[in-house]
Amino acid sequence: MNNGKGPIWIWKLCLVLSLSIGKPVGSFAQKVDIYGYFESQFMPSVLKDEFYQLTTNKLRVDLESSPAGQVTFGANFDFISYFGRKEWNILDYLPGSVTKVIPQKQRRFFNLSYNDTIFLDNAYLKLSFRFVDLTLGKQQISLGTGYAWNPTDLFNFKDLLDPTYEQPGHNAIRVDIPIGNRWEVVTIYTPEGRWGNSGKLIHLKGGMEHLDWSVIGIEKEWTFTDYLTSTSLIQKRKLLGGAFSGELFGLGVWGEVAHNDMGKTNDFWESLIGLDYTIRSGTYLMGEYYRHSLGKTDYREYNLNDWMQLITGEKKAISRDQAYVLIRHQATDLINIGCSVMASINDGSVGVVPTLSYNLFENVDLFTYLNFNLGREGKSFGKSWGNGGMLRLRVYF
Amino acid sequence: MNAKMIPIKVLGAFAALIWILLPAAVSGQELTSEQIMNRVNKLVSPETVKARIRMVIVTSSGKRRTFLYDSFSKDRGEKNLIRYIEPSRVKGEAILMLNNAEDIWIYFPRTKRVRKLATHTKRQKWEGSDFSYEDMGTGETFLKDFNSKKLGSEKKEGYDCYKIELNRKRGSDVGYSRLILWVIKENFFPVVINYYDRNDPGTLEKVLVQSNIKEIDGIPTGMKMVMYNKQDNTETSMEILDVKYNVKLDDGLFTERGLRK
Repeated sequence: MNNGKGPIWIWKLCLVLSLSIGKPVGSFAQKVDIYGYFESQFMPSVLKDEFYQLTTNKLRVDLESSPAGQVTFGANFDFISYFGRKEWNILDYLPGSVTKVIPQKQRRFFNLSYNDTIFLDNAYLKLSFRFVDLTLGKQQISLGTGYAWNPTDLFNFKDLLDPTYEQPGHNAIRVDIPIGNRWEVVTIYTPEGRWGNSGKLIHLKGGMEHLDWSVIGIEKEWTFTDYLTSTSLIQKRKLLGGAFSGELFGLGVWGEVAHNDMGKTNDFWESLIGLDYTIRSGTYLMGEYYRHSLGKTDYREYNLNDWMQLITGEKKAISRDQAYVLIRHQATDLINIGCSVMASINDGSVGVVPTLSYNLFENVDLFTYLNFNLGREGKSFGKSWGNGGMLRLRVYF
Repeated sequence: MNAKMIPIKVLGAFAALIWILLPAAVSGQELTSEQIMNRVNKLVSPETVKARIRMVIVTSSGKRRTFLYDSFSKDRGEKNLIRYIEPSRVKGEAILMLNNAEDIWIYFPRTKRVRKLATHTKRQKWEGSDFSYEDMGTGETFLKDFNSKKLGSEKKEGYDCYKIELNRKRGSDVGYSRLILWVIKENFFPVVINYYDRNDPGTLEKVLVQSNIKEIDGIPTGMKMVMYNKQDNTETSMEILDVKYNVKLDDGLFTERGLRK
């Protein structure tokens, strides 16, 4: 996990480079564009017949400045406060058959606390030249073409209930080299303590006719945790994969595939295929299928580590084959209604998430969803997760 | 000099006379619908355009939503880039449309993600407005996707106009079955366009009315346009705050890299 403490030398390098193209950093203050949003989220849930609620208030302040055509500075601060039930225990959400092996005195290791926080989410300097862009600092890294899952992305972990929510920044040095109008090479280096355990990425992107495609290679340190023994297995993960996005017989079609070479555990494949279409009434339909070659096909084999690695983002799915379906319709000029369905094909469990978004005023959005887990306890979308929802009011400035 | 040869000066004077008289002769003739549409196409699809536009959507319940964006267009409308400035909730979002909106990419600055849209989405409403992606990004669609027919002359919005009907060509997947244009005779500017349903040429879907016509860089320009949606009873207006024609626009602007800038 990224802890937000980037090496100071990146900032020194930023300073030197910005000075070298003739504009002092001090002049940023005169031209800084400030914008962002405030959002309040109310998240009720019903778990084992008990009602709980958690409310968050988040202020995001974005700063952006472009003191010269070639230089852009961007940053954002997040201030988040929590109210309601702030102490949770992850084991409360897991099937009893799995948690019964945990001794009572070890249960506290699974406690989860939400504490008020202020942090610098992104802070980067982008230098643009004719044949290269260089981005230095804490920045978002978005990879892959999938909506609900991204097999080629080792930097982010999506929440299936809210897959398009913004992802955190990562300390990185990024170089974009365009080759013609539709080809591009991207390299990203995410520095850790040593060169050997730092992340490295190379991404070749291209386009032909109506098809965009890419090939990607990533080397990144990866941790699998054994939650029974509280030990971590750190290894080097090497991903080689590709992604595409295009059109077939009038349908939008996209996909990703990745082979993961693990240093100490079993290698595995992840793949995704997606389709979408807009029918005449304007209703948008989308479906994705995701497969993890080491995912389990019998839910009775799901163990504590499977569940915990899913929750912490160490892996993207617990069962081998998953599906995600989304239907969205513009009910009025300002209201969109929709419903997403998440399913494990192997264990037959389903989660249903009806959604509504409403542009209340010029810069005010309301978004709400409910989520129902309809599977039997112990399955991917089983009753042990409880049912709940979220109401988000966001004001942009 | 050969006595039978026509002196160069006489030939030159004759050519000059033809040059002066020809446009008058042509304008005196009845232009065909193809000739009119060629002139319209040339007018509405300049080589490059750079503009700042304010768009106001009025919903069926009377609520207003205002957007401010920069628009860049190249190769007679074949390449288009739109970048939002206001409101804050869409600030920085950008849309790239290439090949007459056959290829569409959207950039979301909050997630730094670029998403490619399939062509079925080009008929979706653009930011909830009464314009579709297709309306915004198709350059020479009048000529490529439609057959034209002259229906006569009519007074429209105070101008003497040619009334032209365009019917969708077989094999075209453009989102309208039929268009009717009122083209100002004086300058070939399409002051009103009626758009008919994709599958039913008898159902009027939208009406575009352009007004406050000014000559900018020698090109007649409707500084205000309003699209009335006759099915949803909504309207969207666009006001050009600033426009420049035939400016130099780098090809790099119309790429994924340009989209993310």
